[in-house]
Amino acid sequence: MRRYMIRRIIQLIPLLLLITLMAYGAMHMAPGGPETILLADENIGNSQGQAELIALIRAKYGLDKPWYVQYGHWLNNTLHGDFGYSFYQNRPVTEIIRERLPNTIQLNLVVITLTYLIALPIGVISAVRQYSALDNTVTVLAFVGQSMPGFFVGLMLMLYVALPSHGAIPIMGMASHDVTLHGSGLLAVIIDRARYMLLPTITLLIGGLAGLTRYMRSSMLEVIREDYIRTARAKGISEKIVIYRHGFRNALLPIVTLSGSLLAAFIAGSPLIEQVFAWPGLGQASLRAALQRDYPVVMAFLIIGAFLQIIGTLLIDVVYVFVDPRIKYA
Amino acid sequence: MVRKSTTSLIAISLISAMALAACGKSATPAPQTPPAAATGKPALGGEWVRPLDQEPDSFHPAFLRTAYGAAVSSSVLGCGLLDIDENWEPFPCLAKAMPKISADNKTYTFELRDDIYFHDGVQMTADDVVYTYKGIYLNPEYTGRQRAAWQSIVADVKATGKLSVEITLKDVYAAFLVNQPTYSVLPKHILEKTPVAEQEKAEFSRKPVGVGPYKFMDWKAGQYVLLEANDKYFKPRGEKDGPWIKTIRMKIIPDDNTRIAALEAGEIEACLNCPPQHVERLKQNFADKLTAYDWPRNGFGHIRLNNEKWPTSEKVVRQALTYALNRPAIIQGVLDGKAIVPPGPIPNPVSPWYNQDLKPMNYDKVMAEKLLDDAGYTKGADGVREKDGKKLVLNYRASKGSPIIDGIALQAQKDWKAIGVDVKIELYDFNTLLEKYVGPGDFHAAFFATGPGVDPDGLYNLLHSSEAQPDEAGVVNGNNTARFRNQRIDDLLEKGRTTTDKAERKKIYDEVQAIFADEAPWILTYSNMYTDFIAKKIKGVVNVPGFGVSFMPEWYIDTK
Repeated sequence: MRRYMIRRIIQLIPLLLLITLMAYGAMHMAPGGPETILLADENIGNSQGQAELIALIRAKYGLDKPWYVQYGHWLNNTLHGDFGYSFYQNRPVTEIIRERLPNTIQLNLVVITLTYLIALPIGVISAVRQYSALDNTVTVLAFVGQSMPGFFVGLMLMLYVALPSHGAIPIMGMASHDVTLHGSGLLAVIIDRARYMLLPTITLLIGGLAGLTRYMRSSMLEVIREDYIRTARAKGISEKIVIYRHGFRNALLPIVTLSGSLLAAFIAGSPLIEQVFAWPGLGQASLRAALQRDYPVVMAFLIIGAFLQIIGTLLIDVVYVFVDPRIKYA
Repeated sequence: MVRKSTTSLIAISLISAMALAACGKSATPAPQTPPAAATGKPALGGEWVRPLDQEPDSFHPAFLRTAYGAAVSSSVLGCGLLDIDENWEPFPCLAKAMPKISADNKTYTFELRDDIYFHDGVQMTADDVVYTYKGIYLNPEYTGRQRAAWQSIVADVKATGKLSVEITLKDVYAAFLVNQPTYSVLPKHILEKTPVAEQEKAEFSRKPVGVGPYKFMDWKAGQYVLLEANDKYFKPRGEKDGPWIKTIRMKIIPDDNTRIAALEAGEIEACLNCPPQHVERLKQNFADKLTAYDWPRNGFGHIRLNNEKWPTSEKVVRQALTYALNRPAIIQGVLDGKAIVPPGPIPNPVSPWYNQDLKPMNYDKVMAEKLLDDAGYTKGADGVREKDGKKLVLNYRASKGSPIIDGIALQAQKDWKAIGVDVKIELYDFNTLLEKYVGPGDFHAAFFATGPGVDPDGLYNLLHSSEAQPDEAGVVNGNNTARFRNQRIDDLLEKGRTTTDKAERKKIYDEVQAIFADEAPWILTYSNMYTDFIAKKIKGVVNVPGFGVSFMPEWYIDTK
């Protein structure tokens, strides 16, 4: 096991390098570098000397060097824990991450927990009662939920839930500025934050529930057709125990695999939903950074995402040892 | 990309508004009665919540690049030595009076007021002016976007007394008074600790200290920026300058639809440059809560023609394309009727430089066909005109992602096909469009949006041939990407720069506009009519043509 882990971790290094290298290269191939964005299209005033200015800016940020040299610099700094300065905001990328990460985690923690709490039981029930009215309803709703774009759901919720509520449910944002911990107390803060989270959470749930419910359903369907389920039933074990002890636990295995992306999902957030609800999270910031060609910010988000994804996958492999006795790593 | 272009134009107008009109533009004439006197008198108090479309980038005026940074910085840092009023004329702000001008029109001497203090209590003196203008903008290390505007125009800035500043120009520059002296003055005692090359990263960029009507209080990332009234404001235009509104909260809301929903829910109290599709509905349904302010944009969307590449290098083809384009249909079809067809490159009648006698080449298909017939372009069997065996086929390139730009492209294709011109439309990402096609000149027609600015010298970098000079790779990096070269226009633009007599200058720019209208180097497609909505409770709002309702210290909240 230990040898396996060490081998896996060593394998991570070239993988991460390759990911960053490809991302860096791809980003630099996109037209319009940060220097043109920094200057935007200022057509007013005097543009003479603009070419000189572009050259100065390129030199200042090292953009005049070949991309692989820039990549080398970036890699060296990143390995020293320095993600550099945002071109757009002129401040350390780590500061931006520190400001926004808690907001993204706050939202995603609630959403992902709820997704699992709701989707797994529903999936099991619709598998057990396949083609029942309940199953059919869930199936239809799942498809509807999955095919509605999040920003549209969000907007509908704003118009038909938040607007008629006359302020009880806010349209957007994440907190009332005048509800603070030492001013109003913990309970008031929790209630206030919950009001703001309601709509983004529902929006994300509608999009996220469908997939997981379907996975759970099909995985469960497969399991309850297995011989050992028939054996269990033949032994006269009660249906409840057959389903939940013998069936459910085995049906969870594919779900565990899926959960490898969870770690990354916590921080990646949902750029569009954060944008729609003006939720000040990392997703919104990364969307903006990509449009602004803010290389240091984009790269920082990317490497954190890739790292968490890989770690997540690794953790799942480890978890398997415990949930699936058939698996052993030499 | 109209959206991008409009936002950046707003950014530009706001940045120039900041530069030009930091602490307000409504100086003259002073209203005879206080606004809304019937319901209440201005008094300190209340909060105004307005939206910001994006997270601000920086509040340091030498480095900020977005309207979102400028919206904050203009209120905090305040006006420059001069400011611009609602008639686009300069008036003294930090200065006691208009400057003394030397006989050669190159040296301007400003006397500063003696009652101006930064928010930290330090008095503003000539040293701060010299530090800002010379120490930052004229510094060779300075790499912000105003570099050229200063370093190509201004030779030196020096203090000639504690409250007296002398600015010397390299050459006579007629547009000087509405440009450089309107830049905010920054606190030397705070900024001099950081070298200019590093200053964009200084704390000042996030916590600005100025002399403006509002003090910077707080910036919650992704949520809001909070300003508070400066009770020591020097009130350049007298008592009405308040500031009256106690706090301004700027909520950051990146999504258009969310902003509208938040406006309807009362979570924000303004819609600035409101999306046209919402304007009529808001005007009708929210008349009791919101006041609408319509204002003409000082800019335009236009189809830039390549004046160097056949067939758009032929004047008659450019004219025919202009006549044949049904611009009123475009305005109705994609802009909800909220625009006009600008007659010339100074689109806004409020501009003192607007040429009243100019008429747009109105939609006239017969005229267009006649021009092409007379010039010997004959229709082939496929309906496409040709001359000397070459077909009239145009590459129309524009940025993708905007229904407005798409609509214009399709209308152009249809209208031009009707006169026998075949159009191939290709849409790209904005930067690709610029770098791969327009800069290198690989296009016949391309859609952009821009504007001339307050002073007509803004036309110089759009139309002067020096701005069309390609580099060794054949790429035009200047703003004249239409590659329009006209000796007479060059002469006039150069003369306009150095002519300080206003009447004479007006004649020069009248002629520039007339030549432009005749040569048709671009097809001026539309100049928007924008609408700002401000909550009814806010009084004293002044609507400035070409800029809209930029926030001013004289606004107050009617508590009744």
